[in-house]
Amino acid sequence: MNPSANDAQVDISQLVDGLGEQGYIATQQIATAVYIGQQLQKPILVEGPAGVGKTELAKSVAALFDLELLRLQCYEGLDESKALYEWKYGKQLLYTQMLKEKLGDVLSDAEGLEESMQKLHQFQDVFFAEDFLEPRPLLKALKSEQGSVLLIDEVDKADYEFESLLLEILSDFQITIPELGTIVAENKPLVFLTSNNTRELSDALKRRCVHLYIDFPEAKFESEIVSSRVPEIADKLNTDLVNFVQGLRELDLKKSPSISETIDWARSLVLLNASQLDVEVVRTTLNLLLKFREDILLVDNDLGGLLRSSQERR
Amino acid sequence: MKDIIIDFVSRLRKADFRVSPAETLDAVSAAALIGYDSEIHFRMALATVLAKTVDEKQRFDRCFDQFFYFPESTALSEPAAESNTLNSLPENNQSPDGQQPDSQSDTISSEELELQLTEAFSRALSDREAVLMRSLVTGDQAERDLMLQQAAEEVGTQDIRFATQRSLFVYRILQALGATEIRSLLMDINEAAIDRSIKKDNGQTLHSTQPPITDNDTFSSPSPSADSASEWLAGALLQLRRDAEHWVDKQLLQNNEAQLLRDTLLSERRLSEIERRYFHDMHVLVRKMSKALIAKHRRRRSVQKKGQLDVPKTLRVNMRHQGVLFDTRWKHIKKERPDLFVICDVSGSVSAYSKFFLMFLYSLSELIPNTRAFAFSAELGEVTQNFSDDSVEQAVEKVNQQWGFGSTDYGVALEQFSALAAADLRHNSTVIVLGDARCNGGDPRLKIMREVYDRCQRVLWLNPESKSLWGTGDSEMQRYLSCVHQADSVQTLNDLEKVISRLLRALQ
Repeated sequence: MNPSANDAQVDISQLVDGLGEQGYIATQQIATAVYIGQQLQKPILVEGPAGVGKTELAKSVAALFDLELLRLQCYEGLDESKALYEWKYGKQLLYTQMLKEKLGDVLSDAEGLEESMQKLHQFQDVFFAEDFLEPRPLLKALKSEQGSVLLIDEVDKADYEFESLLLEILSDFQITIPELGTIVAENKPLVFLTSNNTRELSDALKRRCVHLYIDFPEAKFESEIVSSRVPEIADKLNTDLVNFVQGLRELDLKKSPSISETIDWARSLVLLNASQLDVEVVRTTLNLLLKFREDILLVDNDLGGLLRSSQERR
Repeated sequence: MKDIIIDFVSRLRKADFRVSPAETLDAVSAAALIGYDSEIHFRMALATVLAKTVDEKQRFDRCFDQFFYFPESTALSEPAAESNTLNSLPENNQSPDGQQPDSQSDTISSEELELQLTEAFSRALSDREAVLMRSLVTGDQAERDLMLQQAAEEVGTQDIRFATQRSLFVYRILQALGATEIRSLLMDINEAAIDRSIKKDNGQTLHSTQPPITDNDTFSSPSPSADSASEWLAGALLQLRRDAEHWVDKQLLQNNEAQLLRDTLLSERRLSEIERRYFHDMHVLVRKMSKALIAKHRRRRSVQKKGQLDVPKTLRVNMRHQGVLFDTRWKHIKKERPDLFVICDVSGSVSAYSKFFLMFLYSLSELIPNTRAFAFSAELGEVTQNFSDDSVEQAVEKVNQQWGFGSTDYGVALEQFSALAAADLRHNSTVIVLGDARCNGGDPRLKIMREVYDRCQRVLWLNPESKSLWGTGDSEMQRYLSCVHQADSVQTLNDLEKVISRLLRALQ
């Protein structure tokens, strides 16, 4: 009864395929969220543990739709001048110096201070024109002519004030610059916000977004991701190492290995020409998977057992 | 469709989801976009727009399943989407009694069926009953749902509060529909049929005691004429009853204010009296309160950063602008992060208070990062490490187990605290003691308390007993009062929250 309903599902599967071609294996959930964000023109807030592919998603989407990727990395203390725009002070000064003589000519027939001022006013705000504006990622995204993908990375590292700054941009896709007026986006950018959940984001920000949570994937999925990123890996090795990593994630580790670590490990195993997982190989490459000394010691103690139980998983 | 989504959103709100009207609008657009033939996509689309935290995402699935259920088979005659619910006959093949109209219509058409039944009835049907019969016969799910909804509103199902009222409301709905009347007519038919067959077979076939006529029975009346028809009708009535029950359940869940009521009661009850089985609710409640406190107190820190112009820095930075002071730099007032030392009595009845207090504090670690906790009863030990390792609830349990034995000795506790932490007390530290000040006759070591009082900015005492009991028996509270800046009586979760809120404001 809803003619576009089936189109939606077709579009979503096309999205999954398209992202696959770009090397990003997306679940139905991811594709649905991206689709909805696109169609409703809302920003997409992607949360999840570190290394599951949040930033990669934005990059792949940009590549898929052939849009420019504008990236803003957030940190505490990030403010307008780094995120939005800044005046090119140096250029303004330079031009003033170089045009000193010209200025002198212009004002030569003015008598007294008031007349000179009036003359100068005639030139409007020559030194505050767009030429002297240094746009930063947010403004670039708004002014982009072909549309763009705006990636605001790790927005939970920025502080509360920065979030308030984002609110106008994310809901109306416009920004007000005091000297120039309001700049409205002609082609609304597709916005991705990523967060590691180190702190709770404000409700106002969340409300404006479509929310997607990417968790550690299942074994089958992870295998697909590994074979997509490390094509030269043998199937058996692929399955073995994915099962092993899945087993590690069930342990009580300080930092569970994420997908990017699995991929790195796969690459290194291929590099070392390892045909199968044995205790020695795993022991020497464990530091690629686990990044804390305590975790490495914990796993090292029981390496044989873990390998065996991972074999039994399939 | 819009109404269903709105209903769903109100159900979510009752389950503690914070869904704003703007998000509701988004949900309606998303639902229209995705469509509802694929449950998976529909679910994902709504989850993406309505559940905005990890915690909510997990609970969302449960709420979704409770609210919507999708038919497994495709035995619907029209798309149910046009009706007011997405409910439908669950598994058409599962009802143990009677066959469904669709299969029945192979052997006997619906008009004939209706005719047979109405002929067999001992009296004519009223309008209402006729309408019901018609809808049962044609198997029009949409119409049936509509009738159910109207009947439900008529009998006031929206006011249902308790699970014990279920059967009452179901009965009322069925009565309003006329189903009870039809059922009694059906029973008449069957009795008549049984009588006839008794007369026919001379008691040969039948059991001497008739099986009780209930909804769960299959009627296998030996009489040939209204035989299959009455079986079918019984099945259809049973299905109708089930639908009514489901409707009532849905309304009950929607109206379930029990959760809110329970939260209010729990936060006003004495912490020592709360039974173990409510502890999970308490944890959730504490977490909720901490979130509210964080949101309330988060903003204050930054206001005090502004200061005076830092002239040397400004000059240095503006060298590249030839000394023209474009880029101003300001003096930063370094806000020293507040230090908090908490000494908790974890013996006996006071342990419950300590438990919840520590839970509160560690949920607020975002605002007060440097919290050092000490637990004592007979001996005192530092338990800060427990909180950085485990989740708050687990840590609190461990603390109780490790330090909660023996009778309290405040003197020894203060001495050991002094040994462990006195060197770290600074002029802007805050020390909080939670205990009933009952020293069991031991030496209260006021001198140590006095030293702490002199050195720190703020010493608070939280006493689980009411003020009238302070100083009675072995309570040294009156003496300790001289060494504290403020003493409060905390008995309920609300009291704890007030104290902490005041503390946070002071710490900013």
